[in-house]
Parts: sequence; structure tokens; C-alpha cells
Amino acid sequence: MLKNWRERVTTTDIIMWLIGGTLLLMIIIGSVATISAGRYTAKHWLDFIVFGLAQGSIYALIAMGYTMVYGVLRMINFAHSEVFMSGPYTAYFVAAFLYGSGYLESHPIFSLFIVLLFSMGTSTAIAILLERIAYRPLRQAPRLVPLITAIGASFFLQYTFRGLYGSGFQAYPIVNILEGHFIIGGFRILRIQLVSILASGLLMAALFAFIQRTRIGKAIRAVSEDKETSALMGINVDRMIVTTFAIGGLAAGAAGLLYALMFKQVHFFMGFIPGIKAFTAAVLGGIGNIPGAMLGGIFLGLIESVGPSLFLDGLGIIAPYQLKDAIAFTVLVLILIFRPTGILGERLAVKKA
Amino acid sequence: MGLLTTKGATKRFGGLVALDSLDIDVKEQAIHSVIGPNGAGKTTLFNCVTGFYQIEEGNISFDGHSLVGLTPDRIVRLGIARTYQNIRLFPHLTAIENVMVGLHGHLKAGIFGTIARLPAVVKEEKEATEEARYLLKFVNLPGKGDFLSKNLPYGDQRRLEVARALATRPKLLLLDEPTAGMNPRETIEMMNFIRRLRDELKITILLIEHEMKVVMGISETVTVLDYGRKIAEGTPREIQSDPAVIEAYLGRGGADEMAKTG
Amino acid sequence: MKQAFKLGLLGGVVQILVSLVGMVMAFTHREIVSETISLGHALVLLVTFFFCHQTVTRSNFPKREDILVASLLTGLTMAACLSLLVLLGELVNLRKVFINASPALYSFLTFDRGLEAGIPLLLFSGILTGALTAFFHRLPAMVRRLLLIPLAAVLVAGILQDLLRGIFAAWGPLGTINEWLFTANGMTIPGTIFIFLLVAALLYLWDIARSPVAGGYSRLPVKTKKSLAWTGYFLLFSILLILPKLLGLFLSEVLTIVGLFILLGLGLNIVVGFAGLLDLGYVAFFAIGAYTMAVLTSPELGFFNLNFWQALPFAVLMGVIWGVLLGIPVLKMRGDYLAIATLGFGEIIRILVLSDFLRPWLGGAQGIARIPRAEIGGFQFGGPQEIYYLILAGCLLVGFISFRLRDSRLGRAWMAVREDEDVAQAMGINLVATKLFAFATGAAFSAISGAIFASKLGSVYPHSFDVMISINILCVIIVGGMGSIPGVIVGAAALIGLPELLREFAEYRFLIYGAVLVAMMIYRPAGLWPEKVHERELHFIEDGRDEALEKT
Repeated sequence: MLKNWRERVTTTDIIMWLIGGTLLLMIIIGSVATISAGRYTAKHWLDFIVFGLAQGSIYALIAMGYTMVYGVLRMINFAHSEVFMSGPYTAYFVAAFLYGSGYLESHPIFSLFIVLLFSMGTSTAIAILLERIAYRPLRQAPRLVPLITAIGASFFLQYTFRGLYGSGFQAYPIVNILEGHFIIGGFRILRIQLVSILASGLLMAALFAFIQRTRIGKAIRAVSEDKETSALMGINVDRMIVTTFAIGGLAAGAAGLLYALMFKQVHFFMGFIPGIKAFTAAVLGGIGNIPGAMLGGIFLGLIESVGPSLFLDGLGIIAPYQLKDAIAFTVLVLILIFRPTGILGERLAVKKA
Repeated sequence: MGLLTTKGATKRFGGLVALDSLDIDVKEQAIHSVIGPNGAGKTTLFNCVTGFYQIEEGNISFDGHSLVGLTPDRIVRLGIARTYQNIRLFPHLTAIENVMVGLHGHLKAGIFGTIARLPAVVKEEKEATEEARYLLKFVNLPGKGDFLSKNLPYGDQRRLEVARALATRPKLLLLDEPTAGMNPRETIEMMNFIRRLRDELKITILLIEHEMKVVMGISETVTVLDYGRKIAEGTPREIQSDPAVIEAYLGRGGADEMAKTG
Repeated sequence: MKQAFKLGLLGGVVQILVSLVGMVMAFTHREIVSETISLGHALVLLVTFFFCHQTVTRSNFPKREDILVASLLTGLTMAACLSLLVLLGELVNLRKVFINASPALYSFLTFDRGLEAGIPLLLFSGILTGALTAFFHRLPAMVRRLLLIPLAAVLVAGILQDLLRGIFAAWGPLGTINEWLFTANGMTIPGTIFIFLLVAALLYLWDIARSPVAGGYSRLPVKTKKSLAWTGYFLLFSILLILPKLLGLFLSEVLTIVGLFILLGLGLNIVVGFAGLLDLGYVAFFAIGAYTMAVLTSPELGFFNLNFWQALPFAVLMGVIWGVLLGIPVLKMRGDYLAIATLGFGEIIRILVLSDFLRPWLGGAQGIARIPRAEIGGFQFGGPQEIYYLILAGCLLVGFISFRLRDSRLGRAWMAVREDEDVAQAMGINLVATKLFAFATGAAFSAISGAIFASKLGSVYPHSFDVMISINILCVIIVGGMGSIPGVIVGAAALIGLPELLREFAEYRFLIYGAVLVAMMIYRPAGLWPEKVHERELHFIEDGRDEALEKT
């Protein structure tokens, strides 16, 4: 009987569960230690949570692009982080111009709207070009080929924008109405964070409704299910794929602007880290699944913001905030190991992939 | 007790029951066919036997070993090899390399032996090449060893797949529609070839087949599946006259056709 | 005609992009023919030529005049786009947005003649390029070859002038060639003509002599062939041995960097090229090798104070252990999931090394310094000319192991897994062992490279190990040809060596890498020096592409 058992449970399974178990145990021990030490007050925690929500809703917006493109093409659009970067970086010059002419001061909301249009427009244009030039010729190629192309496109775009706009950080102009904080129920919440949460929420709801309700949205979902059959049903598959990229670009452009307003700067490399995190969010929610991507983004934002203080601090780690990014990547790896389908997803990663 | 036995094997995909407590017994050195309409669970059966899927209930045993929970590479080492319905060769390896991959489990060269190219490793590699050449000749592909497998014509690819399976030195060979897409002459060649496998190499054959001529022509036992259940089993003659089979397999009005092909 | 115009517009956009990114101006500093033609000129010309060529080859007009007109139209449209850029730049200050839209660029594009004279000249040169392209197209293939390859040779000689000058200078009596061929920047005009004619003559001779030589060689007895091959290897080896002396200090430094990347590339080639596992966190093992070396040897930390040779086996061992440890979780993943997970691993390792948390052991952001040099019996591998031998030995060893593994049962198992994982398993291949062995071997090679890197630099910093290194290595093996061992060397020389030699290239390194990756995947997925098996795979991918084109 024992021999039977040993034949059937492999060493690698055991090691994987050991790694996962150890990490979980550390999280629990760390959290208990932090909470019992009581170093943070309720106000601190609320700050962390609001920041996590704001950050997470931006991740969620970007993640929609990953998840939708994966849905229609079964590929990870590695260059999506550059779609995200291109919008706010280009819109920066519009914002700077508006700021310089004083218009941003006098008509802040309308100005922000113009900047947002530019940001979304650029990102969308880049996303569409990317699909047209880099991905379309490779639709039938073996799986590794489009992925490598995407990596190449990502670096090409990064360094093209660096060449065009320069390699330094550009400080985004300060928008007065987004400064300061609201006081809600006795708690101070930064305005920009609340605005980010609300704006992303609205946009996601709109996009989700578009996908669920409209004819085009239905066509996109049909293409995700089965390209050939959709084509036979008279759906223009190419156009739907472009539309998907465009929607991803719109969301990424908006997310990029919120990100730039929150951190007040843009840079040609700014897409890399949020891009990977948004991908993590997409996997977390189950890639190909749009509500999953939203949930995943928010969850990731929260764990990243609360995590360092909650469990790393309790483990006695010095300067836990330096390990913030490592938490996100650890979550990614853990998810890929234990539940590659994500929270809401179907089982894609292992067999079909 | 045959070579391969399934007892109450059940496999579900979500709500769909692909195999429904299936009992099959494949006798040693038999040519045993599994037939059934599309979606009857024939290929699922193969996938369960070779360990690509795990059954949820029941047991599959081979030559005294239970196969439940074993990975495909362990099962092939016990002596079960297979071919695929839609040919799955390693397209960018040469024909002989394809066959030599099949020999993998019987070669022993380790890391250090390989790097140092110890005499034992050189000898083993030479013998493996010879065995692969012999197998290519056996499946009537002599001198085609250096062709990329994807560049071979369709019929050659089918036979190469068999050679690769034979390289694992199986006791039981699972053939998934071996004559699919072949013209009548090629089909007859393939039937003769399958008989040779059994008669010369003493390999037990379990095959899935749609072509009734093949099924009736070479098999000793036929099992009929429908919706994952076994609805009939017996000699080709018994199956042909079984009303349940005719109804399930050909639908009403198919009996005449069945009589013709027999 | 419409298509010619479209291509012209597209070319114009490319041209403007290249200008605005700053490549044109940066490349003007490198003169090919002294004070006559710079690399910047060559770049603008090449882009124009390329698009005119596209027009000519794609157009199917029956009459020659029509082809000529189409080509002229493309050239003119492109020049018009550039003129528009110049005019726009004169009207509005584009520099606020595009930092490279400088007056110098405009003046370069208008041949330093001002707007009135310059723009007509620019338009005229566009037409001229179009005309030349069409004319060139009508030459016989043989003549085209005899023109094109020597021109390319001139271009290469101009790009590599520092390298050539360095080599000639080191060769004593040959040093006088320098003065005759080169000025301080660029070649002399007689030198250019000389190189052009020399290459053309050699090419002509080669065309005439090729078939008799090849025929004669194939008629030689096997034994003579073998001994010829051995003589060739011996010669190559001797050249490799004296190379640093030939090349001097700077070029030896470049060689050592290329060598380190060859080591890394050979390792990643096993993981990606042989086993088909796309690993984007490969730099982690480079870091592990380097940090193991640093921790074990540096007196700054003072834990162990081993010497290089005592620490090297531990570095390799750590590489293997981590290769397996990081490999286990990703065993079941395929394709893009694997890529992202390994990317995550690479970043986790870098963030951990950088953190204050592990600072007492790994030095945090300051890194670890005072790593001793390697030494054999008093011979210290100090400067690049000495380190070179250490790296050469490493490359030879690793290359040898790669070759042996490739042609073995283990190599076949990797390739079977690459081709079809499920079937490979159904043929009795243990996927876990096979994949972990690939990860471990790749990691070991990378760790050797890291260990040598640490000892070469004398210090390690977390910033040396970011994701760009992984991308660099990936580019090396893709450009060289996935799965091809000589391809790794070609790829490393082209992608690592060239940018080191061309300082003006450095800023555009990743831009060009990215473009090269995309272009390679679309047009030549098998790489520059394809593995025999992959060479055939090229057709497979092309087949796929054709189908894709047919469907659209």
C-alpha cells in the first residue's frame, strides 16, 4: 500500500506543497505578530486599504487589456505595458502646455478631460498599430513566436518613446482639484485616490456593459470562444480582434493617466512594473475572464499595500516596503502553481496552453 | 484474466460521462477492436489507459499492475504504446530521431557518461541507431531515416508513428484509427501489417477503427461503445447481428448497410 | 501607382520616426568616408532604398517606364515627408516635445543649405534614389551582387573602423595601412575605393573558383578531409589563443564581455532552444553565480575567504540547486505562463538581493566589493587580456558539453519535449526529470558566467542583474538561431560585440533589439545561423504564415 502511494505522489508535488505551506505559514505568523504588537492603528490600516484600492483599480483597468487580448488571441500581449506608458507620456505634453497657458488652473475639469482624451487616444492608436504590424502576420505561428514578438515590440516601443521624449522623468503638472483630501466619516482620504477608484470603477462598468450588452461586445465574446465558427457566422474576426486591442488600449490609456496623476511623474520605463502586476491580476482572476481581471486587480492592489506591514513587518523584516514588488511576484508564482485557473477562470494554463 | 483489464472505469468531464463503468478485457495476443459512434468514448478510453487522463472510479490493470494514478511515462515503460488519431510525430526531428525517442526508456546513458562519451554510451547509441534502422525497415520505410518526419507523405507518417511506438518495445499496442485517410490499397497493406505485428512480434493489439472492413477483417473480438458504456462485445460475426449495435451504431435503417459491408 | 504612394508615405513615417528618435543625428558622428558620407547619410539612404525597392519588387507593371515612375514616386513621397518635417520644425518648436528635433537635424536634412535651396535638393535626392533603385533593379543578378556586397563591405568597414584600426596598429609593419585607409574619423576616399574593388575582385574570384574547389574537396579521401578539418580547428584554436595580443586592451575587454554572453547564451540555448522552455528570469542564475562567488570570497563580508577556484564549484552547485528549486514550481506550465512566472522569479531574486533585509549577507544596494581575482600558479587573471583565457576556457568547456548533450539520448528527450510534450511523455520520457535537467544545466552554465563576471569586476551590485540582461540573452539566442550552438556565438558577437564597439549605437541598443526581434519573428524565425533542424522548422513557420496570409 505504501509503495502504491509512493508511486502516485511525486516528490515534486511534495516540494510544491512544502513551498506553498511554508509561505502560508509565514503569512499567518507574520500577521498574528503584527496585529498583536499593535504598531499600526485603525487609521493606518484604512490608509493602506484605500491606497490599495486606488492602486488596485488601476491594475484592474490594465488587466482588462491583457485578459481580453488573451481571450481572442490566446497570447499574452507583453507589450501592453507600453500601451499603458505611451498614453500618459504623450498626454504629459498636452498637460504641460495647458498648465503653461494657465488653462489647467482656470478650467481644471475640462483640461483633465482633454488630457484624458489624448492619453486614451495615443494608447489606443499604439495598441491598434501593434496588432496590425506585429501580431497579425503571426496569427498561425507556433506559440512562442508571438510571445517573443511581443517582448521585442515592448522594448522597441519603450526605447522609441525614450528616443522621442527623452530618458528623464517628467513631473506631471499639479492639478489643484486633485490635491488635498476628503474627510469621510472622520477619516481623511486623499482626493486623487478616491478619484482614481471612482473613475476606474465607472470606466470598468462601462466597458463591461459594452462587452455584455452591445452587438460588438457579443461578437468579441464569440470570437473568444471560437474564431472559425465566428467567421462562419459572418463576424469579421479581424475587426473584432482590432476592436479588442482598441478597448484594451482605451482602458490602459485611462489607467496610465490616473497612475501618472497619482505618482505625479512619467517615464519611458513606467509601464514595466504595473504591466507585470496587471498581468498578475489577470491571472489571479483567471485569464480570459473580464470580471476576474477586475477582482484580481483590486485584490493584488490590496495585498501589495497591506502586505508589507501586515505580514512582513511581523516577521521582523527590516524595511518591508522594499519587498512590496516581491509580494506581487510571489502571489503570481503561487497562483500559477496552485490555481493556474485563477479565482474565476477555467482551467487553461495547464492542459490547453 | 487478460493482458489489459478495466473494471468499472469511469471518467467524467464536468457533467458529461465519457466512460461509464466500463469493463473490458483484452486477451493476450489478441487483435481487439473498439468501435462506436463519434463521441462514444473510444479515444477517452485510450487516454485513460495510457495515463493521459485519470479515471475517477474503477480500476485499470495491465499485466498484473494497476495503472491508476501512474503517469504516461511509467505506463509506457510497463509495455503499453500508442499511436494517435491525428498523427502526432515530432515534426522537426528526423524519422530516425523520432524512433530513437521511442527507445528513450531502454537507454541508460547518464549525464556524465554522455559528456565523457564513455565506451558503453557509444556502444549503446550505436545499437540504438541500428535498432531504429531495423524498425524503419520493418515498417517499410528503409532509407528514409534522415527525412524530417513532417516532410514524409501521409501513409509514411502513419507507419513511422507505429515504428516509434514499437521502439518502446510494447506488449500492448493501442492504434487509434490506423487506416484513417488511407485509400483501399493502403488500408489492405495496413491490415496485413497489423497482423504481422501480432504474428511476428507477438504484440497484443487494441484498435479503434471506423472502417468496418478493417474491423471485421482482422479483429478477433469487438467491443462496441456508446455514450461511454459497453453495449456489446463478441466476435465480428456476433456483433454484426446484434440489434443493439445496429441501432446505436448505425441508427434505424442502417442494418442493410451493415449487412453489405460484412 | 497608388501602392507606390502608400509605400512612400509609410517610408516617410518610418523616416521621420528614425529622425525624431535621434538615430540619424547620432549616426552622423560616425563617418564612413571621411567628411563625405556618414552613417547618418547611409541610414537615410538605406531606408529610402528599402522602400523604393519594395515598390519595385511589388509592382507588376509590364512596362519598364512605369516601374521607374513608381519608384520615383515612392522616393519623392518619402523626401516630401521629410521636407514637411523640416518645414513644420521651422514653424513650431517641436523640441519641447521631441527632444531630438534639433536645428542640427533640419540642417542635416537640407544638406546645410537652408530652406530655399535645401528642400528642393532633398526632394531631388529622393527622386534620384528612386531612379537609382529602379535602375539597379534592371541590372543582371550577377552585377547586382558584385555591387551590393562590396558596398555592404564598405559600410561594415566604416562601422568597424575602430576595430580594424586597432588590429592593424597592433601588427607593427601593417600599421602604415591605417594612415592610408583611415583618417581620424572615417575612411579616406582612395581607401574606400580600394576596399570596394578588393571585395568585388575577391567575390568575383570566389564565384569562378567555388565549384572547382568544392568539387575537389568532395573528391578528397575521407581521411584527408578529416585531417584538413583538424588543421582548421587547430588554426582556429591558435588564433583564439593569441587573440588578446592581436587586439589590444580595449578590444580584449569587448571580447570578454562577448564571451560572458556566449556562456550565458549557451546555457539559455539549452533551456529555450533545446527544451523549448521560455525562461525570462534567466538572469537570476547569473546573479546567483556572481553572488555565491562574492559571498564566498570577499574579505569584506569575511564569512569564508575562499579563493576563486575553491568557490567556483559552489557557485555552479548553487546554480544547479536554484535551477531545480525554481524549476519545480513551473514544471506544469507551458509557453507564456512559464515566461511570466520565470520573469517573476528573476525579479524576486533581484528585489531580495537589493533589500535591506538581506543586507548583512548580500550587501544590499551597495553590493559586495573586493572580490579576489582568479589565479593559477602565480598567473593572475587580472586585466581583460588575462580574464579572456578564463572565459575562453569556460566557453570551450560549456560549448563542448552542449554539443555532447545535444547529440545524445538526453538531447533527443529535450527536443521531443519541445516538439510535443504529451507525446514525449507517452514515449517514456520523464517530463519532470527532463525539464529539471534542462533548467539545472542552463543554470549551471549561467552560474559559471556569473562567477567569472564577479571575479572580473571585483564587485557585484544588484543593478547588474536586471531583466534587461535576460532580454539581452534571449535576443542573442534568437538572432543567432534558437537551438544552434554556433548561432549563440554569432548572436553574441552581433548583439553584444557591435554595441560595445559603436558608442553612438549604445543608446539605441534596445530599440534596435526590439525591432530586430519583431522582424526576425516575422521574416526569419530561424535566426542568422540556424541549427540544421531549425532550418527546416523555418519552413514550417513560413508555411504557417502563408496560411495566415491566405486567410486574411
